[in-house]
Amino acid sequence: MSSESLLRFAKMARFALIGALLSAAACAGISATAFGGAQLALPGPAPRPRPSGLAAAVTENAKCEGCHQDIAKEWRGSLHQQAWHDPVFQKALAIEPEAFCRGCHAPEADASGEPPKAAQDVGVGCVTCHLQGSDVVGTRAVAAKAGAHAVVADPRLGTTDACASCHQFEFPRAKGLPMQNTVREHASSSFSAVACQGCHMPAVDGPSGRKHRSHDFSVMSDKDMIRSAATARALRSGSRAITVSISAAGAGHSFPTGDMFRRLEVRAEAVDADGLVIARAAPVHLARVFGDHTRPEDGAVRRVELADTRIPPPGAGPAREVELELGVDTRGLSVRWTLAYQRMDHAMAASFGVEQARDEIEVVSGVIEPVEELKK
Amino acid sequence: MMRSTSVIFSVVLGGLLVALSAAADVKAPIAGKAPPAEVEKPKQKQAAKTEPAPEGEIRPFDISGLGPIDPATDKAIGALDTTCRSSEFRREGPSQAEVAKCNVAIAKVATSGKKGASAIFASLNTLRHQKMRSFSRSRTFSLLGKLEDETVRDVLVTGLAKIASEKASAYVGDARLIDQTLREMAGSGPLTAIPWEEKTVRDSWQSVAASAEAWRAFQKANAGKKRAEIVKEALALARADRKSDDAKKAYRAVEVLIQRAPKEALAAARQYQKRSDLPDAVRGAFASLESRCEWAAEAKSKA
Repeated sequence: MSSESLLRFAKMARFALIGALLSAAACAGISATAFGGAQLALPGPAPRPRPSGLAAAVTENAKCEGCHQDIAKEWRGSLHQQAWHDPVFQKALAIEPEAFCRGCHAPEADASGEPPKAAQDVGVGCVTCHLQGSDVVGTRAVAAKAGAHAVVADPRLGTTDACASCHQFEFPRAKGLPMQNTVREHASSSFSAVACQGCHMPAVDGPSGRKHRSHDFSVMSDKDMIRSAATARALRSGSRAITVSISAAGAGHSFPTGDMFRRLEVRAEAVDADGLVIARAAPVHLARVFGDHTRPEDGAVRRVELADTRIPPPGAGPAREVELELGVDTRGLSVRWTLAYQRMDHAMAASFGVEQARDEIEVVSGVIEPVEELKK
Repeated sequence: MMRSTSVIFSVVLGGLLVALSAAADVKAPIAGKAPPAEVEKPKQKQAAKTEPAPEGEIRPFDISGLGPIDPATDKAIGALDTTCRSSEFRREGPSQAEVAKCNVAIAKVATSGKKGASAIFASLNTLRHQKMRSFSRSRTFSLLGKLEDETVRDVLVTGLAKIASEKASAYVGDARLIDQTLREMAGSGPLTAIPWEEKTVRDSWQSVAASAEAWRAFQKANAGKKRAEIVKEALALARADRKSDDAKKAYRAVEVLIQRAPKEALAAARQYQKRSDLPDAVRGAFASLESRCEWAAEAKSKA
């Protein structure tokens, strides 16, 4: 991990700790009755009841933006706001136009049909998390004052539960098999005491100098965050291969997590003194691997997870060892190796034709210097 | 169930027809007399003939030891290839409508029984399935899974080894399908990977080569055995291991039971999770097996 990444990691850990303390304080100071005991209706892969209707929700969302401009600016550039318009999502939806997808990508509309444009534009909006009935909710209660609304406290907004309904769910047709498993991965990690918000909504300074929780929810657009997720080192294993050992670092879940198509690519090439590439290893991909089982009785097909070679969450497993076979004697050669994060495989990216899909982020790389003899 | 019955019936009927037509080809000589000159000699098993592979193209499956390509099966597979279409980028896998449509095409090919094997392999030897390969290829392989034929198993194992040795990128996705097909055919197979077991991740070619080697050893160990015999042995071992303190043994036992005795597998998977000393990863793996058992048992219940 680079020094910047380490710094970033330390910063994230600090924010995470502050987040945990704030959540604890909120839980201790505000009784569960602050919200009248009603369950907060968070977005999820199901139609979300909004008795006041979409138009009212859109109007309220605009009001939020009008006063909370710093936060609105962050949210405007986020994948939450772009949940519907994200071109990769649109390509995927064209293949599988399921109500199940619409529940989280346009939560302000009825998921059973194409959402109205207003709901598409709001995406996962301010109101999605902060408007419950006619109450504005937050992690802490704030009394109404002139020109400003009151905030009703629901401490759950500061917990992992607030994210779970859209970031932990099963395949609709394969009960028991998670399509996204981030929350469970998080629960098994040494970061389990830190809510998602601890890392993904860090405290930032607003223009007014007041700190607030960032609402840009950046992950893939934040290369430093991706780079802080893992550390790796590589050693020769024999004369023709290297072993890359990858450990979880700053991510509080498996790496990569989220969508089932995300993966890591580990690659290596042997280079001579002039920089000429002499050999390339076949790349190794670390990902969840799925297949389909066909039931002989009726030909029904079900998704199964065949393997999960991702980096386990911190504290949930040892380092992942990856062996790359170069096919030539590399003792007199340098070996360059790279660990890269990819949103999806090349064939899928090509099929989607979306530049964003083809992006990759180099997480860590290194060079193994030539040797005369291998250490025993 | 109606469909599965008709598929099984078709396979059985197809097999019977093949046997009957083969018997009809052999005319018995009249006792004490030389056979008439015009009497046909018993037909030799013809080797399947296919166009040679274009330069640089690899054909993993050697079908020279199988019978000739059956034109009707070949035609039915062509239809299957165009019918069984589903984007490989669907998160859920093929939709229920796509599966139902494909099942109709599958049933037509299944009527060929063993005599269809050459045509099935010939189609898998070409890349005409490239466009939508994951679904149509997997369903084409599944047809072989219903056959009980050691020669067909050998063709698959040799094909797997060839994919690895030739580093045939276009066929690398077949490795998993071949393994699945061989398990279906043999009713058992080499030891499967344990989800919670940490091991070094290697490139696809090394994994495919290891799989081919494991299947070669399995074939050797079970040479001459009928599927029923292999299944009987595997089930006996699974029943003995399903409560083993060694979680790996128990996990593999449940995996074997899913195929033939899903309700038994379901009970075993549930029971095992009740153990108080299981690490989360192990419990999670058994929970995942449980949902597979439920799904498998659901069809048996309907039946």
